Amino acid sequence: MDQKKRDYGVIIIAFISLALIVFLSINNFSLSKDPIDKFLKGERTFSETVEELVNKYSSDKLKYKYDFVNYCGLFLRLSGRRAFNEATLLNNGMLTWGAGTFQRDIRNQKRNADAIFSFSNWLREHDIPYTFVMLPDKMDMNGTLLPVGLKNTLNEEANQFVNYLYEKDVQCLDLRPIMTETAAQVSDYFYRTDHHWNIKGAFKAYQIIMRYLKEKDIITDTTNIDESLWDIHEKEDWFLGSRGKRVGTLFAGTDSLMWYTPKFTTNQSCIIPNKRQIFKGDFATSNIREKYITTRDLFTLNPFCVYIGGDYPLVRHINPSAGNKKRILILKNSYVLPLQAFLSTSFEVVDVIDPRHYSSSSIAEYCDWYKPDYVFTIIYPNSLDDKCYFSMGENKVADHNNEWEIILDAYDLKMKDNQKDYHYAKIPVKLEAGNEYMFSFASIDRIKGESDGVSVVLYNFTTKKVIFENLFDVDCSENPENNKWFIKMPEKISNGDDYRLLVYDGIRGKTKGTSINIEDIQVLQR
Amino acid sequence: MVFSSLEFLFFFFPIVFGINYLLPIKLRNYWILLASLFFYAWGEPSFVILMMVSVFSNYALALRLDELEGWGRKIIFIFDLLINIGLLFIFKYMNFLTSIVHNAFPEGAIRETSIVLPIGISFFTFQALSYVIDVYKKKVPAQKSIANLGLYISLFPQLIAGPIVRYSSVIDQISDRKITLQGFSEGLMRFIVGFNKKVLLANILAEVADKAFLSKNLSASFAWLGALCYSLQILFDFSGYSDMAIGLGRMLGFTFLENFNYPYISKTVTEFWRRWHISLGSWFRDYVYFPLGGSKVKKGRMVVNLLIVWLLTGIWHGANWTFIVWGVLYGLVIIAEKLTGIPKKIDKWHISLRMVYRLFTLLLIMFGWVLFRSESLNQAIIYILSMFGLSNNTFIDDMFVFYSREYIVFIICGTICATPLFIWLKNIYNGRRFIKIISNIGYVLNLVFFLASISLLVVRSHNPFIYFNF
Repeated sequence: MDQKKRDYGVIIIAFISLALIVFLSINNFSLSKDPIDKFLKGERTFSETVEELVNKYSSDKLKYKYDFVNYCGLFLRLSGRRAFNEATLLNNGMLTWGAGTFQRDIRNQKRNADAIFSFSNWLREHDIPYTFVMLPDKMDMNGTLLPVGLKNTLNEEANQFVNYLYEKDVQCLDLRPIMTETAAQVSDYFYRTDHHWNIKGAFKAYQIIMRYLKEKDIITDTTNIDESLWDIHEKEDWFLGSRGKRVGTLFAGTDSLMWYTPKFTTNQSCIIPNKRQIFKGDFATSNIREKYITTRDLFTLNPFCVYIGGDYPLVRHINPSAGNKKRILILKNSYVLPLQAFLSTSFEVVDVIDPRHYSSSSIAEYCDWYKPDYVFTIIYPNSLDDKCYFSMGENKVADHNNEWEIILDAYDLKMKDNQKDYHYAKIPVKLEAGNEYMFSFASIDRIKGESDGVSVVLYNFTTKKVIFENLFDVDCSENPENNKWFIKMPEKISNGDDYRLLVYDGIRGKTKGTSINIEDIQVLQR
Repeated sequence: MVFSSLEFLFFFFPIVFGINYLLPIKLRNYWILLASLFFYAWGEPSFVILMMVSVFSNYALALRLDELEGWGRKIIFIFDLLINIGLLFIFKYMNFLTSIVHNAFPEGAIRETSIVLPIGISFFTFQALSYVIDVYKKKVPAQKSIANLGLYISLFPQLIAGPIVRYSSVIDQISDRKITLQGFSEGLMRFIVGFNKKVLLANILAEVADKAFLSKNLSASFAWLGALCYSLQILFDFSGYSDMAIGLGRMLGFTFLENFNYPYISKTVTEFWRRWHISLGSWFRDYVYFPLGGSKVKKGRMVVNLLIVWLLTGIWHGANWTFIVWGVLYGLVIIAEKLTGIPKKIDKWHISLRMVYRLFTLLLIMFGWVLFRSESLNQAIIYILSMFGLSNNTFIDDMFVFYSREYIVFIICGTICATPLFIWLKNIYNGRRFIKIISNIGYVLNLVFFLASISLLVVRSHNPFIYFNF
C-alpha cells in the first residue's frame, strides 16, 4: 500500500511537470511557425532555420519570459547570490553594474587627460570657457557598499584622471565627493535598480553646476535652483532599472519614478533633429515624455528617459525667456538627460551632444560654428573607457584665413500646401563635397497648418540619401542667431555626387496641410 | 541541440514525444529514428551523412559477418573495425597528429589539418563497435532492419554524450518495448533531476571554475576552490546528462544501464572507475582489457594490459596531451592499487587509515580534473603549483573571499548531492513515515527546482556540455 502511495506521488508530480512543459510549448508555438514556414518554402536553409529558432526562443518574444526572470531572481536571491547577470547587489539593497564593469584593471588616464587639456586649450584660444564635470558613480568613495571581496576600480581611475586635470590646470568640477562621499548619499541620489542617478540626484547636480558658474561670474541668474520653486511628483513601484531588468523584480525590488516640474511659467522648445521632433510649450510639454508617466511596463519601458526620451546625437533646447542669455554646449552621456532639462530653464540655448552617436562634425567644428558661451563635458567614471569623449577633432578645424563667402543671398521661399507628406523645395545652389556651408534665414511665417518646425535636409540626389538633417523652430526667429545651420560636407567619394539643400514646409513626413514662407535665406561657403 | 535548452524543452520534446505516443507501435521506431537524425542535424546538418555512413557500413558488414566463417569472417570484422576506428581517428585525432608532426618538422610536407569534430562521434562510434564486436563474437545476431540498427546507433537520448549503450542490452527493446505510466513518470522525473543537476549545479559552479582557470594571478585558496567547483561541475554536468538520457530513454520505453554511482564516495581509485562513467569503463574492460587477457595473465602482462586500457581511455577523452597524461596517470595508480591489493584490503584497515586513503583518492581525482580541465600540461602544472602556493602567489585573495561567499549554498548543495545521503537515510529509517513525507517533499522540490532551471535558461542562453567534445 505504501509503495502504491509512493508511486502516485511520482506520477502526479511527473504529470504536473509535463503539463507545465506542454502549456509553455503551446503558448510559444508561434515562435517556431515563421521559421518553419520559411524553411518549407525554401527561403531558408536548415542551418539558418535552426539559428532562427534558437534566437526566437532566446528573445523577448518568449511567453512568460519576464515571469521567469523574476522567479530566477527570487531563487538566486534566496540562495544567497548577490551578483548575477551583470548586476551586483550592494550592501544598501541597491543594484549596480556587474563586477566585469567596475572591477577592471586600472587604465592609465594620462592620454585621456591630455586630450581634455588639448581641447580646453583650443577652446581658450577661441575664447570659449570649458569645464570637465566628473559625475558620481553609483558607489560611495570608499567602496563600502560592495560585497566583501569586490572592489570598485572606476573611482580610482576617475581619481587618477581628475588629478591629471588639476595638474594641468584644466577646470574640473568633481561631483563625487559632494554627492557620493557616504553610502547614505548613494541611497539618496540614485535609483535602486538602475545604474543612473535619480531625479533628486540630477537636480542636486543642477544646483551645484549653477552655483559653480555663478561663482565664476559666468551667469547671474540662479533663481531656478531653489527646490521650492518646483513641484515634485512621484509614482511608486513604477520603474525597473537597467540592472533590475536583468534580475527581475524579486531580486532587489523596484523603483518609484519621480519627476520635477517648475511652478514658474515656462515657454521653451526641445528640438531633436534626427528624430524629426520639436516639442514646444511649457517645461513639461517640452521636456517630459508622457508615456513614461502614464504607462507602467517594467521590462520594456525605460522611465529614466522621462526627461527628453533617450540619448540622441544632438538635442537643442531653446528658451527665449531664460534668465541667462547664454548658449551652452554639453558633451554628455545618458546621466545628463534630466540635468539638461533643468539647465534648459536657466539658459537661452542648451545644445546637448552625445558623442557616442553624433557624427555630423567634430566637436571642435561645432564649437567653431556656434561659438557657445560655455562648454561642458559631463560624464561619469565608466565613460573614461569611451574614446569618443576624448577625441574632439581640434585638428579638423581649418585655419580659416577666409571668411564666409555668400553664394546665395536674400532668397525668399513661399511653400504652399500641396497635400503631400514630403513636400519640399530645392535651394538653388549646388554644394561641393569637403566644404563647409552655413544655411541661415531671417524669419519664418506659418501661413497654414499646425507644424512647429521646418526641416532642412542635405540630400544626395545621386545616391538618393539624406546625409544630414536639421530642424528649425518656426517661432525661433525671435533670435536670428538661432536660425543658422552649419554643415560639414562629407568628403568626396565619387564624381558626380549631387548635393542639394531641401527645405520642407513642416517636419519631414508631416508636411501635409501646412504652408510657410521663409524670408531672406542665405547660403554661405567657407 | 542540448537537452537543457528552451528549444529542446518547448519545441523538440513535446513534438517528438507527442507524435510518438500517437503513432501505432510499429511506426514508432521510424519516427524516433527520424527525430534522432533531426536532433543530430540540429548541430551540424552535414554530419548526419557521417552518421549514416557509420550506420550503413556497420549494417552491411555485420550482415556479411553473420554469413561468413573463418578467415573471411575475420577479414570483414577487421575491415569494419578499421572503418569505425578510421572515422574516429580522422575526425578526432588527425588535427592533433598533424600538429605534432608539423611542430616537430616545420619545414616538412605535413601541414596541420583543421577538421571539424562531429559532436558525439566517440560515443556513437563505440556503440557501433560494440555492436560489430558482439556480432562477430556471436553474442547477438546481425540486425536485419537497417532502421532498427540506425535507431540503436543514433538514438537521440544517448547519441551525443552517452551512456554508451550495448547493443545486447537493448536488442529486445528495439523491437518490443512497453511504455507504462509508472515508467513514463519515473523517466520524466529522472529527466528533470538531470536537468536540474545540469542547470542549477553544473552551470553555476562552472562560473567559479572558469574564473579560476582563466585567472592570471591565482591565490592558493582560490585555486583549491576552483578545483573543487570543477570537480563538482563535471560530475553534475555529465551525470546530469546521463540522468536526462536515461530518463528520456525510459519515456520511450528503453531501459539503459546506470552510468554514475556516486563516484566521489569511492574508497579507492579503482572503485572510482567503477562508479564514474560506468558504461565507458565497462566497454574498455569487455572489449579491450579482457581480450588482452585481463588480469588472468602474468603480472607483467597485466600491467601492460592496464596501461594500454588507460592510455586508450585518456586518448578517447580528447586529442590533447593533457588527456593522455591524465589517462596514463590513472592507469599507474590503478596498477599500483592492483599490485598492492589495496581495493581488497582496505575494508579491513583501521577507520583512520581508511579515511586517509579516501582523502588521498579524492585529492588524486581532483588533481586529475585539474589536468583534465587545463588547456595544456603547462597550465595544469602551474595550476597545481598554485594550489600549494608554489607559483609566487598569495594564500588568500579577494576573489576567493567573494566567490566562496557568493557560491557557498551551491557548493554545499553540490557536495551533499554528490553523496547518496538521502539513500543512506532512507535505508536507515526505512518504513518510517517521515521518510515517505520527505520523499514526497523531494518530488515537489524537484518541480520547484525545475522551474528555477527553466528560469535560469531563460535568463541565460549559453550552457555547453563538457562531454560534447568527445
